Amino acid sequence: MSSYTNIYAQKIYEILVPLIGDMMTKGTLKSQAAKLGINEESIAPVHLPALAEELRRGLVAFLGSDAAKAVASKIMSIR
Amino acid sequence: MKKSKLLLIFIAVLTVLNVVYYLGQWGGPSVLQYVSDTLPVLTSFIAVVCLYHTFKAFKEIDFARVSWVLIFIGIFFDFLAETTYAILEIGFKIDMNEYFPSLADIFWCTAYIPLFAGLFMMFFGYKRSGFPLGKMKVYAIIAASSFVVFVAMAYFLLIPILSDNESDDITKLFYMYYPIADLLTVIPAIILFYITTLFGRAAISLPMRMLSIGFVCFTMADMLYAYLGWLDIYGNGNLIDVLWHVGYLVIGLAGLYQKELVESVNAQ
Repeated sequence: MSSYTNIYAQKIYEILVPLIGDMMTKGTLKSQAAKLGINEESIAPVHLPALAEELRRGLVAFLGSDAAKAVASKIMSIR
Repeated sequence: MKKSKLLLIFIAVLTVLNVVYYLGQWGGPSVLQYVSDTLPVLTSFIAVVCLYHTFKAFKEIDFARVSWVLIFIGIFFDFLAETTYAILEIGFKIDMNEYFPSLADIFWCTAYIPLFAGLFMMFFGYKRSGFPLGKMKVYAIIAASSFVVFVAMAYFLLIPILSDNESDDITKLFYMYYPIADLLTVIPAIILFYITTLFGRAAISLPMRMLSIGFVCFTMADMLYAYLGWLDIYGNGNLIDVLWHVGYLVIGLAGLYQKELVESVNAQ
């Protein structure tokens, strides 16, 4: 599996890739980071809540609200 | 062993036994009728149970849960239809090839409404998710193919049915309803299948993929049935029945995959 040098991007990648696959995870990370005005390698703890919320909204359609929230919580608690 | 794996094994075994029995037709016409009428009741019941547990796995009422509830309601109506058909044919000894449309057909026709709505909601929910929709070229191909299929269906099936002077208007309406409703249902199913290809083999893609395959099975079976039924050459033990049986079970399997996915995410 491909990896990011940014530890937060890598951990978000590891959380999402079993759910939405490699291509979609990379694409989503790229687009969501761009919305915050950064790239994936610049993700910092301050970006995690916004990223988690956007990803939660995207995952609701597949997992339902509670499971999507669980994924978002995992992302928020990345250290 | 996961319930989805058990169901997958059951699908494989039942399909083989079904095909083998229909080819051999041991036991004569009455045994064939029992098997032919009870298998769809069994498979639709299994699908209903799986789908019931699916929507119960979602704790909150949202797009995902409502979509699966609608699929459950649609398949439940299908179960009512299959049961009614079996009772009429086995219990009351009615020749269902002559007694068309029946109460069973009313249940079947009703089922399409929540099924279409459920599939549409899944697509609409996906569209709101912000994930990419894929290539517009593919949607254009799906639209063009659907148009071609509709034209072919109209030419080979709908127009001959409409022109048939031997059937009354109600009968013609029901004969035409099925293929049209099937086409309207299979289009969102195919779109959802395409969307799942964007996710590769990721966990999220499996439920929708199985759901799509189930509806494609139904559509193929219904279109063949509409043609054979109108020509009055469909009877018990026709191999197209296997598509319905597999369709129900694969839809049930889709539900189990969805349930297991939601539960595994919640458990982490």
